[in-house]
Amino acid sequence: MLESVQGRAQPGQLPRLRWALLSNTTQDPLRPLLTQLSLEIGFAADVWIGGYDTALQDAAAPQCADAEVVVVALRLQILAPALVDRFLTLSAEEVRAESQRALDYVSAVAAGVRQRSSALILVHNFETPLHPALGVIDYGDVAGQVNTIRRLNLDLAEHLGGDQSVFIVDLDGIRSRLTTPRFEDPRTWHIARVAYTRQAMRAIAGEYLRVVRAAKGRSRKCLVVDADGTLWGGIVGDDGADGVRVGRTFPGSAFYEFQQALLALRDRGVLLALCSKNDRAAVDAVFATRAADMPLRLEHFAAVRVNWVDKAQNIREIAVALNLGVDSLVFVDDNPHEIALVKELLPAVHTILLPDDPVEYRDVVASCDLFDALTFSDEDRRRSEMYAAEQRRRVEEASALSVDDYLRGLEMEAAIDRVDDRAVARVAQLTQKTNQFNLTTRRYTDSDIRRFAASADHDVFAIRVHDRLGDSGIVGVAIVRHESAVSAIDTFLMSCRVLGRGVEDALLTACLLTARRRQRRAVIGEFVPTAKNARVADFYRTRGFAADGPDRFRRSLDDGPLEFPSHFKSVVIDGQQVAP
Amino acid sequence: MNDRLRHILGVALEMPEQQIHDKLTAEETSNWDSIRHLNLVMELEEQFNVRFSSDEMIRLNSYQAIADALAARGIA
Repeated sequence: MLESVQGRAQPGQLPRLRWALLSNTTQDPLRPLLTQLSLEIGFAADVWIGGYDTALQDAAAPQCADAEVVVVALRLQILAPALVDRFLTLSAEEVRAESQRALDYVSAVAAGVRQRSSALILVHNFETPLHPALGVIDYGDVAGQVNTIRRLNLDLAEHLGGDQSVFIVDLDGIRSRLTTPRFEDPRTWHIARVAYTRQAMRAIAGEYLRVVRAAKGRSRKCLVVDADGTLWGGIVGDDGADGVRVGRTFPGSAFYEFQQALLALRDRGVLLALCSKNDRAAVDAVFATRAADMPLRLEHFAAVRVNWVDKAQNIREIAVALNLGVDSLVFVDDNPHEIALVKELLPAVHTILLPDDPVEYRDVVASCDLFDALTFSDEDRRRSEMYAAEQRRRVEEASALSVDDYLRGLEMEAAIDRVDDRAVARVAQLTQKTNQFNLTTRRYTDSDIRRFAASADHDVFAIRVHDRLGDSGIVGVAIVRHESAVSAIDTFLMSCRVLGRGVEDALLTACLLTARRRQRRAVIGEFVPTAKNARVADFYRTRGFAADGPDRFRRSLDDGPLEFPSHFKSVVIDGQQVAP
Repeated sequence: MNDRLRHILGVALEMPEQQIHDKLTAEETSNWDSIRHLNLVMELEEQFNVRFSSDEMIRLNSYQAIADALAARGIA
């Protein structure tokens, strides 16, 4: 999690870092932890700890005025014990008053510190109880204990938010990220008013260091990623651009999510760079032909080095190209040899070896706490405000919204295409995997699908859906066999994750259209019952088909318009817009 | 175990290891104050992967008491 000690310098030669801890609990056990963690990022810590529950007075102490980092760690249990221990005995008015008192005290301590210094001020907020006063119903009660403390935390952030050098230390967040089960230690609390376990204190100190690292310009600014086995599964040189695993469904979905996590870092302002041992053309081919399966684009990378030169050399060049020191880089690879090489040749680069299981990749990157920045530009802030407003609108409107409005609001776009080489594998996989929304449950292999696609009297359609929330990829398949007078739907299936959005109707209309274009008089639909597909037994009957024998249905094409569901923003068949 | 325990005591009580002997008690050792005591107990728990009760935490106030408590947990 933290960098190695910079060089082998003795604490005496390192720059000093003065800390002041103001608290209403015992902070002494934090001293060795803070000293150790400061040393790991190259500072000799000098930790001053104020008196027990004298934070307001300590804020005026010279040791506090001299400190570069001041921690204000006030525990609600001491500040407003009734809110913690006897919440239900308080009236609404008393809850408000107690909350206000706690808020005023913390604010006064922070203001007292600020009056005398320009230090970074790290303010603990309040833990919500693990076992709240009202039990299981507490969370749903806006006046319950948990929501009262959450509101208090929100008020605290609002109160202190105007000061760019005040940072909130979120104890609930630290508690939930802790890998050991215990956060509080009742033994040390009773014996010495030490609230947290050592592991928890280490995590809390680690959180302080995130702010310090950023303030001292030691945050990392660029993430360098490998390609094969990292951005996608498999090796593009062996498997081809079509064969590498990435997309919306398992196992490619693990890589898809990992790419999303990389993009989220980019949204925060972290630069991405690509460093892969490959032929450039092979990597370009993946980005060109698998664009629908990947959120990342080549343009998202600020620097790209794809060649057969060793990675340490490439990483050095990336640093130069981006005008960064190598100590601003984090390097991620699935190959332990590459990691070892970079560690050896460029020890200042922070390296991350990806775990064996790709589904774990996302968290490895998301939990990397080396990229913190202390500011977020005004423009970024405005954007997040717009998002927040949009979110509120959605919550307010949700109850008044009809299903049709909702569907319209999704701005769905459907693309229905005859399968090509790239889609064959996914289409075959859907015929093999889909059980519930599958009218005939005929299982086909890749070569079966290729045979249908090549045949003059078959159409194999794959439907892909894109909406405001993202791309769902190929979610439905229809195989239509054109006989002399009629067309028969051999296969009709839908992935369950798009049901209820009219996608099946769009695909069915496409089947009817193709039959009409070939001048067939009617379309025949079949239902082959299985243990799992009962939900679609009435599919054809409810869509203008008439019974035509047991589990066989017929829809005449003589007259009447063939319409696509009106809520689609667009429907495109083989590149031609057919609706609206 | 003696060397390891001596080392842990030396670090936690911030004393040279040569001054750590098996007759050491908190009462007679100026460095063995309540804060260092707490650090010592937490360090022992982490190092030996044991957990003491609140009562024990208080009573581990001599080298012998610590050695006994560890021995009772099978750490000779």
